[in-house]
Amino acid sequence: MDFLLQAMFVGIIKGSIYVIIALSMVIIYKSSEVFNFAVGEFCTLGAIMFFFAARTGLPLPLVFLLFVILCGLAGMIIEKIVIQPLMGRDPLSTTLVTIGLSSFLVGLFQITIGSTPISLEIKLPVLMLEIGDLFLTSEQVWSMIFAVLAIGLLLLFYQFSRWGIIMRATAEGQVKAMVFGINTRYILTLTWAIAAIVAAMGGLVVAWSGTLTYNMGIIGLVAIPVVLVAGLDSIGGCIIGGILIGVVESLTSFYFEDATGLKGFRSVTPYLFLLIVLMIRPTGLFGQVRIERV
Amino acid sequence: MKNQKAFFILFALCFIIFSAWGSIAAEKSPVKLIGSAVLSGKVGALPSTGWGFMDAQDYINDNGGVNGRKFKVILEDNQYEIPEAISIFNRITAREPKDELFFHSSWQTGVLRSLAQKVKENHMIFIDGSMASNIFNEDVKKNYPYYFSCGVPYGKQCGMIFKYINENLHKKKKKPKLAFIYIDAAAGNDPLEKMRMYAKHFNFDLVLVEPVTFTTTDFTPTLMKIRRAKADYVILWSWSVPVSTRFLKTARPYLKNTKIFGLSYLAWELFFHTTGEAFDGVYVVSPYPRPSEINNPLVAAMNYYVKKKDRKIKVWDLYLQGFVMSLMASEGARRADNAGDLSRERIRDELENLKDWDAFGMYEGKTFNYASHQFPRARMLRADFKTKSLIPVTDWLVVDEYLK
Repeated sequence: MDFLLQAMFVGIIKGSIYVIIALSMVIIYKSSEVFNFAVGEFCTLGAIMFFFAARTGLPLPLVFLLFVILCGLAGMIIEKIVIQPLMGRDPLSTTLVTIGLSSFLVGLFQITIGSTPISLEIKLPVLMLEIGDLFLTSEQVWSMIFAVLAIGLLLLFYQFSRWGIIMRATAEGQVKAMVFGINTRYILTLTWAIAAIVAAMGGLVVAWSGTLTYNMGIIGLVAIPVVLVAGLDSIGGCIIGGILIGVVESLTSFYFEDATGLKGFRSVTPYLFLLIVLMIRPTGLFGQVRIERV
Repeated sequence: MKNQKAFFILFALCFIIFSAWGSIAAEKSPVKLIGSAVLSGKVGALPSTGWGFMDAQDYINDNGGVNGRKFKVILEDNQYEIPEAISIFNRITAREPKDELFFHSSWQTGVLRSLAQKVKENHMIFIDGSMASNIFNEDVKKNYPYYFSCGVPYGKQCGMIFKYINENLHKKKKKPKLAFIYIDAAAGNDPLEKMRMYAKHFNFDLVLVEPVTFTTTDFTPTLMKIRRAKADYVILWSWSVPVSTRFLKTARPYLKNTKIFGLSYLAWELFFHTTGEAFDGVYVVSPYPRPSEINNPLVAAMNYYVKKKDRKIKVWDLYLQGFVMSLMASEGARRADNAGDLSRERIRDELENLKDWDAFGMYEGKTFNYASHQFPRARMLRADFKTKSLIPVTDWLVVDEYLK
């Protein structure tokens, strides 16, 4: 079992990127029961926003700030134009609309940035890690830092900030929240803005280690097994589920593929894992069992 | 007098109308090519190809067309989807007259395989970006008589790399250890058999053969396997810019003592921009002249149109492929027309008999031969980040002779 430590770390890094993308879905699902199929395009949107923010020539911290503001604004605009008109309807209708939104955004990105892959450069200090068998590139270390920061800030916001508490209250029940004087319409807009920022962070990390392409939103697919394994409405579960899937995938590619000769099996692993989990626990590992009164 | 004037005007009018009618009737029918290009889709959209087709069309028509016939490209986007490409083929072949539509160009091995039977029946000539070893092999004339490749088969490209390593890079006494990384798709799997054959032939130790997918976001497991296998050399067989870029970027710090090689779809200057320094020192095979070789007659002709139309060419090789495939088609049609039989069958024969031809100066004086339905020559190049160019490290090699 050589490279075990390496395999574990690679899995955790990979999983933490899955977590960011999946969190974006969970936030939206918790607040409105909408499954956002356009999450991958939100990732692309983030990478594009960063690309344009970086071209302003501002110092890196300001570029990041601008990136966050732009992504939040984009999330708000999308919610206002596409989601809000469907408020009060069956969440399934809105879920279906997100599929259309995804196709629209792909087309919009192609018009905006063209169709040739673009290099996304972020000039950060080199943080390579090499201890014994363990070797992580600077980009991998930074990816992990980004992921931890994004997840940590989101959890802090949700747990301790006033708006976070209001958002949690709204997620418990929109009608009840309205009775207590919460402007749920505004909270929903805020939720989409935050979800867009979170997904954008994922997109940024993915594009940085590869290329920015208008159709890189396919990465959003990786979030689906994570969200379903964790349970659609559990933020904590999403973190554990994402990392679990990342590690399982990594161990599969490091050891299982070689042992069995099943090359490329790693791509199937998340879905196989999902299948096993759902057979044992249909609500996912941490999903709430809803009891409905007849 | 009045009648005479009226008669004169009527006569003049009739003369003008009939001469115009006559000139329209006398205009020869055009020669058409379906340019089924990858303008969008999962491998990254590549508009350069489309421009290559359109500029070649202008070049051919500016130079007298095909013996006075207009050369016309019907440009379509197949999105790198086999069903879409097949639908384009079916739709346009049904629509266009058989005595005008002679050629088809696309970029997918899968499309060639899917349409093989149909092409055998209707004799459409495919001049294609696919360089599949399973199609363009010793049996091509028997199995795929109407398929012509716009390059050197992938398996042979692997063979060229093996021989180049043996002759120029490998100084150790032990057998060279090589890892082969490929995209798990029809084209990716295509050269495996030939690659293994050449590995044996050139005495290589094939320590790892590993597939990756279009959606792979992290190549660390693959790179750790390469490290574990202690490979001296790696061949990356990828035609997807995102896959190649991500692999090269991650590979650079992981594989410090391993030399990386790529087949012709890695021989793109674009990688200097997408991967930066990680592309430096990568060896690639290419059957085409580079954009910096401005004295090359073909490059000069292409650069003329790039400048004239203010093209922003991101992938030179794809622009060149669109351009060259059209030129090849027009040359085949011209020769068939000269022989008095402008038909698909005759064009096929003429293309197959293109021998000792200068191929628009592509090889700078060296000759072209299409007898084996594939490009006969290629070079090894090395990526140089300082000059951001692919520098030839060999002359134009005759591939079949080199691999003996």
